[in-house]
Amino acid sequence: MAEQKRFRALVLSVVKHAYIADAVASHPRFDLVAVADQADQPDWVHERNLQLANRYEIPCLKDFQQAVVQYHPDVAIISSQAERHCDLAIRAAESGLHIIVDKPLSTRLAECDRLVDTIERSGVRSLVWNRNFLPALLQARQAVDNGAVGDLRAIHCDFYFSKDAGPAKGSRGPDDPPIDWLQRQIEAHADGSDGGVGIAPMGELQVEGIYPLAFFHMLSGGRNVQNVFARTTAHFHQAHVDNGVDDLATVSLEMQDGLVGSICVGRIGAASHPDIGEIKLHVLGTKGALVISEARPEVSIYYRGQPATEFRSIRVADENNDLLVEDFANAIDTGMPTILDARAGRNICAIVEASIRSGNSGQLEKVSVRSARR
Amino acid sequence: MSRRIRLAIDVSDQRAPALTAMAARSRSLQVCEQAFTALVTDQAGVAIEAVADNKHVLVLDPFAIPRMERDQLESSGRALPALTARFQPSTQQVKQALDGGKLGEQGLLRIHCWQSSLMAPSDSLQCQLDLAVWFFGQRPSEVYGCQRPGYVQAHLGFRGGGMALIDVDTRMPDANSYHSLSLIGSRGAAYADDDRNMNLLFADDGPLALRASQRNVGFANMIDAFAKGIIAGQEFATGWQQIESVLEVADQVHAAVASGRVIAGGRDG
Repeated sequence: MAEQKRFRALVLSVVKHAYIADAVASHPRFDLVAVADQADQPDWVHERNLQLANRYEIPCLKDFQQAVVQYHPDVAIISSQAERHCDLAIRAAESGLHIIVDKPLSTRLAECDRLVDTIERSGVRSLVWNRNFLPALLQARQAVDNGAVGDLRAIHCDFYFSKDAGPAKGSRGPDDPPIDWLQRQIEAHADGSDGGVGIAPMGELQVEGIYPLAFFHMLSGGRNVQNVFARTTAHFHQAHVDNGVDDLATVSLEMQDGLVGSICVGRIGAASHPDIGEIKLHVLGTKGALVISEARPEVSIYYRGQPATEFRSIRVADENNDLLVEDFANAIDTGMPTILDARAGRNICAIVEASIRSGNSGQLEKVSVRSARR
Repeated sequence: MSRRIRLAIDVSDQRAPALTAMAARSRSLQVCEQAFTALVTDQAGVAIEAVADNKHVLVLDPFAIPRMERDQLESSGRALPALTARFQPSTQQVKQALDGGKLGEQGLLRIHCWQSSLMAPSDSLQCQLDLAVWFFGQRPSEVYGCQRPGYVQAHLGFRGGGMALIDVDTRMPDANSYHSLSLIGSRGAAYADDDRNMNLLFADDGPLALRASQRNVGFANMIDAFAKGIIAGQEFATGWQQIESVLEVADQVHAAVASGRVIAGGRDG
């Protein structure tokens, strides 16, 4: 058997958590070769890049092109502020690098289109980070694929993260200044509650909406969402109120072939769930139905003196990160699409954009679908 | 010893034995067939005759009663519509937590109600819409819906930003049903979900999930509330006004389905 090619991975900004870089680094077919970013980024960005570089004992550069020339990467891992995702990914794709992009793909649909154009022109593979390989999702996919529920009729997902996001709504004094979004995200990095790292504020639909919508994409065989009706509000956190973005949202979806569905997305606060949050999938088919808890399998552990912040239930047998990286490697090998490529990510961005529009207009909104190569 | 209300059960379907058994457990009631002063029935004509005879009546399936009969029952002041879904033990726990301030302001009510039933999904939807109006204490300001054969989905928006997503399916495989209700508040959340209440049976065909049943405690709660209402001299007419409100919301869901548009809510929405 021929030895499989090992891929050289360039980390192209790592201002969010390093979970993608860590996942890639732990895969036997990938080596992290350098961290790079644009020189004009603020100090805190370079500091975070340097931390990762030091951890893996690899170089850290402030010039992307120099990193490409010097270290010959095959792959770029992009985990910058959300509004830079597409631009960095485009630069990487134009240099012939396959790309892995953190979520959300972008906060602007036009940027996603620019990225998809570039990727389809350059022929590189792309992966938008997602949770579709969690054990419960694989079980759901198997049940749908083997016909256990028949043809899909409706698909629903609750995606509630029980994290806090700074002061509770209404808890600040009348003379307190509005919370600065980016500053809060930077400060929240230490405890992992930075949910939408970017200059522009992002609501939960933008930050987390990709996950349930990626589930739908996988389970429905990539059926397009055509119309949405959404309700959005800032119900829990002052940062969301001050910045005019949602922390709770509901979206009704009408899809191709008569399939209907809905998602509920919320950053519901640490008090509202004993673990990471209530994340559930409800699927109706012509022959049956599925109720899937994303957290399973899990183990519950309780003990005297247990910190209130420690989850009581711990997910086990989670191979999501490994399988995503494996899927990406296979896509590079075969030229096949990944489980969630840039075009699928772009369409999810379009659903989110239409949902936010609907939340503001109070009306049904059409989704701008990009279904085929232009 | 306090007075016990003499209650008769005149219900035409399979609920009769359970209702009788639950009524028999009440310290406020004496179940009888003769000389009764209160009645539980699912037949509008029987209910109207009973209130004309100065009896108190708990009327099952009130959403199915035609408008004219509803008006008669409301004006009697002696007939109480049975809003059965409110009395499920799990639902009552969630409402008590909300009313007690534990959950903060209502944010999002999510209900999945899946059944194997010959009923139209829109008929089953009414009871779930009642829960939404009850939990939010107001009618929705925005109503959207979509429908497919055997399936309906209602999406409600409330003043102050609250929202509800309800879907009803009637095409589950034989004898299967599933109910899930979650309420996300500003300070906490409640999850009343059959998924959390399944036991396991290991048999020849592999493991089977067995729902831990709430049995007929919902009936007991409902009958008890009826008895207490009679004893307290409660105004029963308001229950029918709530029925009208819910039916108007249901009409708005149908209008949204038919038009493919979002419908503006009613007078208090």
